[in-house]
Amino acid sequence: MGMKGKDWRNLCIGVAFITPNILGFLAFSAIPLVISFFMAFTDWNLALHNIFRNEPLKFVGFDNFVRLFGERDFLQYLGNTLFLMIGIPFGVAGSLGAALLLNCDFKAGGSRRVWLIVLLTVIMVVAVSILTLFGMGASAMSILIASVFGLVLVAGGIGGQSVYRTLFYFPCFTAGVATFILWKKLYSPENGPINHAIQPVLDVITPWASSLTPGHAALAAQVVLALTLVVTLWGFYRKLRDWRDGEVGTLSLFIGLVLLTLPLLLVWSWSPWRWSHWVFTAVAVLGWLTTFGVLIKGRSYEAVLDRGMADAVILDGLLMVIGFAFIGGANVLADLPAMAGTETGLMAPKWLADYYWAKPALLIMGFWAAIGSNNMLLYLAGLSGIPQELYEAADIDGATPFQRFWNITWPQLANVTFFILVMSIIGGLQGGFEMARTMTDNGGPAGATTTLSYYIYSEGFDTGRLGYASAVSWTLFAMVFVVTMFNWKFGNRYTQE
Amino acid sequence: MKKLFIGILVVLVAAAFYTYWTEPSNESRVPVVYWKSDSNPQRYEQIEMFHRWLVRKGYVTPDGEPMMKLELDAGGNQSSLIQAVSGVGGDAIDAYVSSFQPLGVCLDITDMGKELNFGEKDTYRAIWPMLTSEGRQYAYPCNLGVNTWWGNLDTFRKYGMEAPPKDWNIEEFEKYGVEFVRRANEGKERQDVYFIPSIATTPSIPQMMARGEGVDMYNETLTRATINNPAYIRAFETVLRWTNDLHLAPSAAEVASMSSEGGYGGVNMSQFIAGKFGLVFYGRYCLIRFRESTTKINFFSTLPAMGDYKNVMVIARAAIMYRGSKHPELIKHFFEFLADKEYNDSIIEGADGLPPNPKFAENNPALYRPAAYPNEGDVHQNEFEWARDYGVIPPISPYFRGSSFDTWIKYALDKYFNNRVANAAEALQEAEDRYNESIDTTVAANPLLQEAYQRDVELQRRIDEYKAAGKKIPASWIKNPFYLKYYHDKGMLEETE
Repeated sequence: MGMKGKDWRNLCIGVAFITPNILGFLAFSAIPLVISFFMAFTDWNLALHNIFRNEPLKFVGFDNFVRLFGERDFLQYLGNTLFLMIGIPFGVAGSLGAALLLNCDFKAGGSRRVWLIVLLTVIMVVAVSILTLFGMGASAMSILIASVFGLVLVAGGIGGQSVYRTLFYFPCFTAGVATFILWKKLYSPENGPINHAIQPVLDVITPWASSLTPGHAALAAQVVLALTLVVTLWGFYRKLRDWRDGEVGTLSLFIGLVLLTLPLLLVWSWSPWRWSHWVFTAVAVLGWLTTFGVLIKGRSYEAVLDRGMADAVILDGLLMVIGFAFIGGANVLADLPAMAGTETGLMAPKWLADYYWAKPALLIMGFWAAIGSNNMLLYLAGLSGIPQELYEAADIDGATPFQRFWNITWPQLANVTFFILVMSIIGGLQGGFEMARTMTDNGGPAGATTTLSYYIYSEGFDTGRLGYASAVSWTLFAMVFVVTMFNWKFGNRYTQE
Repeated sequence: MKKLFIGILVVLVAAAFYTYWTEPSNESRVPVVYWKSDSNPQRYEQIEMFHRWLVRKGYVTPDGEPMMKLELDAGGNQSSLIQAVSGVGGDAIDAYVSSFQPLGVCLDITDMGKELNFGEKDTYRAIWPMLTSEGRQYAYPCNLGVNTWWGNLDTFRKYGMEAPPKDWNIEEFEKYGVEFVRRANEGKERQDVYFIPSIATTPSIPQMMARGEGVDMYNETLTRATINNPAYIRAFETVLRWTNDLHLAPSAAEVASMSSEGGYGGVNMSQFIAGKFGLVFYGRYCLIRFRESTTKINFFSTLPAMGDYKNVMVIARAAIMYRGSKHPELIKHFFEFLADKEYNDSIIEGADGLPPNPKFAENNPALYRPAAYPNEGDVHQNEFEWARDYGVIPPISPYFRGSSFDTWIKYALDKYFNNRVANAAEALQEAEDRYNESIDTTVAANPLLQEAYQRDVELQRRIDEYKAAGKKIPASWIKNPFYLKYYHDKGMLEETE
């Protein structure tokens, strides 16, 4: 049946109302997007192609894309971007922890819980006073922060969940630049509260560390390095066991094992001990040979190819990051006597002013921001959707709190976790621009904190190579697209597992 | 609901019309021309002065009103550039010719300059290369400046020292600095007074030192960066020694820990006023801020310490005439105004750098010894004479495109200063490679540059042959303003071919 006159009129009115929005979308999003896609395959250069320069535009095919993988800036800034994303698993864990805490009913425990919080506050105040007496609180900022913590505890004790939920969400609705400036002050090498807290601890450690012989330090460092092997081997064992039991599919097995293998290979450039290069490589080869052996032997229970994909991304990804942390820790430990033996002893990091510490500094800040973010809200929403019957059944079976978490909460939140992880990866790939502008003097020191998003801006508007900058943008888009497809393909399925 | 939406639509349309009709160009009876500059309060006074000047010069309508209305369009360099290539730049734009001319957005003003007295003879010889490209004039300075060391006599006297000599070598500078730092920090637990501010972000200081030894960042034809050489290495090592060994300057971490940061002039100005720095690296423009202060500082200035060949870096804020201007016949009078007495006197009076036309500065008591500011000593005369006698523009190559001409030298300095990630030679080699890679990329991407580049490369080959043979080099072969002046002063130049 055709539309009547009134229907047509309503349609026209409706279209008229959404027209401004559509026009805006076309003018500022859709059309520029199409043009930028076109530009990525051309030699569009502001010096040749602008309103006054009409040189013929050359179609260069995939030249821009090929060139970017040979440009050291692109590779360095891609590396920086990926490095800053190492904090994502910790951010996800932190926001889950925050959501679990905020999901507790603070009033349920009655006055006992309130008194506990008041007691904690008193302990904190006493601890701060003692530290101040012993010189740690040289800056008023340290005392102020500790006092604010105390106040928060008291307010939480009285106001309950809603106070904490509001406070934890603060990082999300505070303007980015304000937060960055605040963190810049926190990271101030000599006057910042972070170093005021760290330096006294280092002063205590210094005599002990300087008394260590280089031999002992190297031995301890290599023990820490060996822990990477333990973690990786356990990861391989867990993965193969789950594959055999039909808990994970073959594709997820491979992805998980690739992630677990990365730290073993990176010791070649990150570890100064030659034995580790060969031993770690041998373990990697052995691990993969075993894997192929197990695959050939077959398994007891079949599973679809991509079952357990989130397990591969989340847990194996976490093990990979832990592996990296052990390698980094081993390096620090090996250098400890030399660092402690200097005239100044062990010094707190110079954070943003230091080539090696600038990236970790941003990573820590990102971790803080991730805890009290929309991720936490998503987890809170997810927690409220878990059927209480499952917990009741677990209680009847005598489950411990950890068992309740591991067997009920964690699997039930799997879809939320997967979504958060994917969105965090997308955010991580696109991030870093504001931080580079505000905190680190345009991505310094010496490009240590320049990310891809800043590189695109710089290539487009500083050098005028718009074609090339578009190619970088679309490469970034491709990365984001792959991650999104991954979510689309596996996100829902993981919920069912 | 429909009525509400329609009401909102009507209000928005009315607001759009109101905004359009109240635009200066629609309100004014005379053509409105736009000057894209910074938002310095002095710009508004200069615009008012321009309107009065138009009347005085007889550039008026039959009603006796100024024949045009000049409006300030404040914005940064990046936005100016994007607007210019898009056809909506201001009629006059404060810009670098080296950045804007390759885009084809500047009007050739050579003939106008000769006719209306804002040509080569009406400005400083040193700044001329910055206003031209391929021998044609594209800009005229709004003001210019030279950064040298400025000190507070009272701070020095407080520590029982007199002002250092106006001209000193590196050894004398270090000796003086060490003594100043020793006296200023005597009995203190931690050093809080420095001789100079951080130089890790001021590449012009090592660049001037290298020039002092007769070496510039680019070769004679500006076709190749030549930074990895003994003069630059020595300069880098010297400035690092000033920071790490002699503690004449604070490190990046110490700067990050200084309590003041924001505001006009940044940390250096506030620390200088507070007596924490003996010297600061400033030009005359800094007096705009210092004159606002209630503290009267007794200034003196000295040349940067360097080798035998005295040089300073002179830089201009210059205006280009926009090629897309609708009123080139009108805006040319603005350039005429910039070279005329009223404007130059206002620059002298307001301490907004040096006046663009030296004939209004030479032996002018209002500049040399302003009666209202006896505390400023001879800093004005020094700056004018040093700009005139020792001034050379910074190293700028027409074949390099980047966010700034000192991007990679800054990067090298950053890398060298930061935990000694690289030694001086390595850092400089990387910077040299990056400059040269950028030159190659720019030339390859722009056929308009290729012919000129090949010609200059060929010239360079011949220059190298002449140098090797110890022959005088024809002046017309040399494109690098530093070498042109240096070879001239050293008698190595063949003035006519």
